[in-house]
Amino acid sequence: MLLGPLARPAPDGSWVQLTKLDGLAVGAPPRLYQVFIERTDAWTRHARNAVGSVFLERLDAKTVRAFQAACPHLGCSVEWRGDQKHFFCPCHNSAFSHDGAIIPPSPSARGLDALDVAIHEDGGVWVKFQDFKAGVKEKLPVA
Amino acid sequence: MKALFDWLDDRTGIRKLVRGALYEHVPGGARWRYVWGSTLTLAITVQFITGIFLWMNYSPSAQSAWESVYYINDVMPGGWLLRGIHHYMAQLMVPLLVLHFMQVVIDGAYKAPREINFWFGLGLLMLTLAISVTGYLLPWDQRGYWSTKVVTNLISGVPVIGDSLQRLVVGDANYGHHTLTRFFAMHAGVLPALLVLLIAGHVALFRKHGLTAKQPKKKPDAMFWPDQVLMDAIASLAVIAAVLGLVWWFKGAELGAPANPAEPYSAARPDWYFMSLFQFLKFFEGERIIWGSLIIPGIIFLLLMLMPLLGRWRLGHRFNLFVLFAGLAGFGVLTAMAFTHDARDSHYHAAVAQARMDAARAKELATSRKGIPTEGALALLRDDPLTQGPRLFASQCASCHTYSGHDGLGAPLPEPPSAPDLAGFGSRDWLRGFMDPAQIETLKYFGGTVFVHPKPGDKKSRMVRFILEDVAKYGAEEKAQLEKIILALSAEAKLPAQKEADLRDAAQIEEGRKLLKDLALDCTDCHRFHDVEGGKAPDFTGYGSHEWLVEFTKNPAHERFYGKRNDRMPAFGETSRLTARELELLIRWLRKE
Repeated sequence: MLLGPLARPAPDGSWVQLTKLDGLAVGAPPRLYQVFIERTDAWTRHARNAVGSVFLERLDAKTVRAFQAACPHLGCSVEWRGDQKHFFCPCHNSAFSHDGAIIPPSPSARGLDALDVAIHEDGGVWVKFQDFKAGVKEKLPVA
Repeated sequence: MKALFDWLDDRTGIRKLVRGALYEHVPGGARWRYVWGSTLTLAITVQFITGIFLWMNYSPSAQSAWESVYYINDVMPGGWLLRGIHHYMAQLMVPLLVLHFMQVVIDGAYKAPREINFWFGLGLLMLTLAISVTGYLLPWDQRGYWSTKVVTNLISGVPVIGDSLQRLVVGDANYGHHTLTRFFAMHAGVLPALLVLLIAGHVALFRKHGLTAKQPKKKPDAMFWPDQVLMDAIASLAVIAAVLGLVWWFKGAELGAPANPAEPYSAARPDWYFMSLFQFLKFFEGERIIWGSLIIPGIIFLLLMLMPLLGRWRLGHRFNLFVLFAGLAGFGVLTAMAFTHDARDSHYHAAVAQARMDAARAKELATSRKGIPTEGALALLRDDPLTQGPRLFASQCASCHTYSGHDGLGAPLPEPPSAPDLAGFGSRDWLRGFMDPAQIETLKYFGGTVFVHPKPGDKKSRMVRFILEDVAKYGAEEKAQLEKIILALSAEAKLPAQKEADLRDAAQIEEGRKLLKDLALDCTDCHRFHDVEGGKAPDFTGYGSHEWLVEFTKNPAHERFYGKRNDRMPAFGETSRLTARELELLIRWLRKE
């Protein structure tokens, strides 16, 4: 009842396909993708449950970089600000460089959380979507 | 009547009770500064009553919370008023609590033997704030969702037990049904029950110790009845009037678009009385956040708790007054800083405007005949061209194109556009501007393209030269022909907004078609038009129609369109840059279908 949620296993991230390689142009700014996963929310089974969003950027022919859009500070969604070429959190004003590193002075304890990316043979861009603990230096998956 | 009261009094002892309540001793006589406790009792009573009526209509689940609040707010007769009163009374309770607290500290009413009652009061203050925080999430709109996420992430920062505490509060690793059921149980069950208990203790102890008079007394001692009762009643009426005024002025309480974890919300802010804490958190870098979220607020709370003990000494009382006013000043300055920052931030303004548009659209769709589907109102926005179109445009088209001069969502492009502005594409006005020698070379049309700025050694495109050289010299008769051709070409788009105009001008459109087919003004030298073959320029058949735009966007370099002369526009349909569904939403938005 009260303590039930503590007994549930910690989530281990979900691999989801967000696009195909040809959907991302080299040199284009990071694009935000919404993430839907198969999930059971208490009593409801969702085939596609919206859980968050991810910035994808194609670095070269074979490499795609993925950042969790949730700010590592306190979980608001960061935006890509094209005019300044950096990520910015509209809540407590943390700024992150193009490669996700903190631009001081920012309240966030760490840079943006990079997510694991796998490119499948058919060109599918798969990302391991995970939430990380907010407000700490170390990148720890939410337990 | 008297007999009835006698009977009631005999069975219940009500006369003694009423007398006890009304003939409380008021040393120094009635004063306005004593009214705040009564106004707070009134406020809490109103919250209980309105809260129970809201409860009768509220459904705490991820697919029904927003929906039921929308129903209360926008469908249920008087629901907006009910929710409005509950909302604005909650807003007003904070200043009322502050005033009550100030009176108690300034008048020294917290000193021995009233320590415990002072602590009860602090408990009530904390409970009220906790009820506010838990209530903020319940509408399950974007604002409540994203702001509360910050709160639960702050909880995870509590040493040792933080992670477990967060999990218990959220009810799962992610927000969902159980977050709502838990918040609702706290908001409407656990916290109000504790509130009632503490209020009972607070009032009982107040009666036991009596009122602490403001010194020096200006008037002789009196009873609670009638003067103080009158003052309390007037103050309570003023509170009710203020709440009704706010509800009327703001047309009820705000309800944002339904919560969407996948849709960033850049306008996330807590309620105004937490804006100081929100601002405070900006000052702590890295893991020092705990100073802003726990340690310093904890120290301030401890100082408040210590007030009755320190207040025994004269210097202690002065120190308490200093803490009170320094605290209020800090609260005021931080709040002002937060609001000033937002007022000057154009990104924030854009985010708020977007949030309002999304909220209005969600309600519009929910109110439409289609109504809210079983999977919730979120699905309405997800499949809505008006909501998704501008977002897709901003992310996929606005690196080159503008829409009414902006990126679709209202922001300017980081660099000047290199392709035409697509607002009203295919409409009569758009085409008239295109054919205007004074406009074709502007950024609204071909000004950013290779058609105007060819590679060194090449000429401007044939179309641009045609407009600059031929159209510029048109006489009255040719201009009239061109206008008819524009009407005919625009009619090909079958734009919903032009439906009536196209019907009205059917005769002229028919003439324009005929002109096109008869090779007038040389259009069909290059452009295909139905059975007139044309050349290598984009096909005029169905120009700007839904099908034409979908196919064009899929592959503008197809020979039906620009062929080899396509200027940099990617083939969105042959890559995965836009899914078929996204393309459909984008085109429907562009065409205002």
